[in-house]
Amino acid sequence: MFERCMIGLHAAAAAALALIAIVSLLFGSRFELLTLNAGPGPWVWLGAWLLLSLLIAGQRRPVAGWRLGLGACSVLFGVTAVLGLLRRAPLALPVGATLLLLAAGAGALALAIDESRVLAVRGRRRALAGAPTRRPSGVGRTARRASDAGRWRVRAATAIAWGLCALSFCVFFAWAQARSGGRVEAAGHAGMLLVFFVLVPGAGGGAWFPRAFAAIWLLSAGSMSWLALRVERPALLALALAVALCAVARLVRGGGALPEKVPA
Amino acid sequence: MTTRRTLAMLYVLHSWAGILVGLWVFVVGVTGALLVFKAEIDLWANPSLVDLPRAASPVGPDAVLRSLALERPDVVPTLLQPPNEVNPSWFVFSGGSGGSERIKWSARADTGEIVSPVDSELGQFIRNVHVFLLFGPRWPVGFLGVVVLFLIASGLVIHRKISSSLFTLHWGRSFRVVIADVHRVAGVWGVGFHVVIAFTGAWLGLAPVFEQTYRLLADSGERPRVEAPATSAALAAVAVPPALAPSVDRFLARAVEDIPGLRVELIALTRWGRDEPRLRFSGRIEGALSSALEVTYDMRSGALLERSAPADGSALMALDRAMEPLHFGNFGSLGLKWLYFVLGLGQAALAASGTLIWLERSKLRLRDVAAGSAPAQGASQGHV
Repeated sequence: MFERCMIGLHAAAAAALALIAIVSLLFGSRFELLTLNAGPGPWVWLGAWLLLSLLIAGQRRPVAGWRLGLGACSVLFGVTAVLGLLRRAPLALPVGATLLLLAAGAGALALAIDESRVLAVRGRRRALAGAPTRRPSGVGRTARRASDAGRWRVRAATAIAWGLCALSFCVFFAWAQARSGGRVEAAGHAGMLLVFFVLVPGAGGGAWFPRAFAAIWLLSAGSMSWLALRVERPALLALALAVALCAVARLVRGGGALPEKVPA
Repeated sequence: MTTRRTLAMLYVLHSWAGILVGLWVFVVGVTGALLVFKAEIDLWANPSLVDLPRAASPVGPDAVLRSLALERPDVVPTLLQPPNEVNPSWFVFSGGSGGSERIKWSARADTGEIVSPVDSELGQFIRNVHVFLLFGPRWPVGFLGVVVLFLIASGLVIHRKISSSLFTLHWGRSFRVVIADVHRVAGVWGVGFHVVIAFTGAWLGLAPVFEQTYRLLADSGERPRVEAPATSAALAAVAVPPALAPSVDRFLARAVEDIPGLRVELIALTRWGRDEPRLRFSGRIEGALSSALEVTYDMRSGALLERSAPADGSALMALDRAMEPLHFGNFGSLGLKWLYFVLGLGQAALAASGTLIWLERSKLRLRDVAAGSAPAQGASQGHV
């Protein structure tokens, strides 16, 4: 389902833009599309994008989804070009020609996606996957359980680390959005930079370099505490403490075992 | 020499960072490619402007403002946009802040006569999607630029066989192979462009964030508050009679003297009709890789309040002024615009193909797990 949704969102983005252009050309001033005015334009685009995405995601086969999305793009680009010419829009000829070129490109791509080729490759894979595979022998149930528990611990630690990153960023984002023009707003900006350039890289590389991760996160915890005291928001100290505890836990436990396979 | 451990780490980080921001990069890529022709799209979306004539020597801003004052005396102008190589007419903006409705008017370039309100700003709408994701502030897209820089760097390190993939496109092979080839070809051929776009995007988006951080560190957290815009009632109370108002035309001529070669693209009217009205002329010099050249005057005293010319400021400021033209590709000829357009679409293709590769890999991994076999190399981590 995730795959179908992603394909839908990708394939529908440009088509929704074309749809907005069509609506704008058709309705003119009756369809508010001026910046800073709270008109329906953004919502129409978002709605059209999501609806088209759903329509495309409704296709059971991904290739069919792509074909539908690209086909929709092709048709909508073509309609936009023709409408511009019919409405006698300024620059209608060059813009129309470009849109028709894009429509032809999207259409050609939709036709070029060869379903049989994809299915043939998948068929071969399925046959291979169906073949009996040698399961590792001599691995006891207890050892497997221990390994599972270890894996879950690593996953939980990773989830907590990323959760802390997200939470910290949200807090600083809210500060930065305060638009107070004062210290809290500036601290929000500084905090966002801290999370993005220090906390997140630390979390990303933590599985490989646990000591570096711990050092970076301790540094972040210190900086967050400084920010909390600077703008007199002691609640942030709790978050800084959580970051510090996470770093210490990683230091005590060491890094998670990650495979070192590199794709050919 | 990169170790296998480092490569494995970079694969994981590249693929996860890619899947997290892939859709966003795709949307930014498509809208960015279109934005190269923003002025053209804005004009095209307004069929009512088709009959406006292009004047060999357009009237000055005074004629336009006079015409607006006659047509709509209740309206407070905030911004003027002179005719240029794409737009044959003047544009006047009014309102737009403090909750007032924003209106964009078109005016004939030969007489200054106000023709009609402009229906649509489709190009600007696309820019809002590109820069602000419609509703947000500017910095998220700056952070995205940094992630894209990381994706480019990690992609180059893990890919290794760069020269061989310049011309490798296996059209006859499976969907996954073709997509992987498209990803490599789009990435390698456009690498210089992608780096420039990501870096300039990160700069433009994060500059205010760094500025605020510097303010905090330098212990000057307080920022002067922006004054509320003039309302029609306030304007009526202190409005300067048009006959006595200082000439914007004269200030325009002076701006071109103060910054030689300046081609004015926008005239901002601050506190128009109130005490201490100010005029800010911004634009760029033809052919120069520099934007945001500005000069601000106090209309009452005629004093020059602020100037940002190519010769002014540090090297950092000069670099800052080069960022916008480099990002939007509006410093060269039409050919350069088309190059930006194609490469921008290439960036979108890069993002889409990367996401598809991730999806294919994760499907293979799930299938392998279901079949009870060891995951295929690389598939175990959703490698791209």
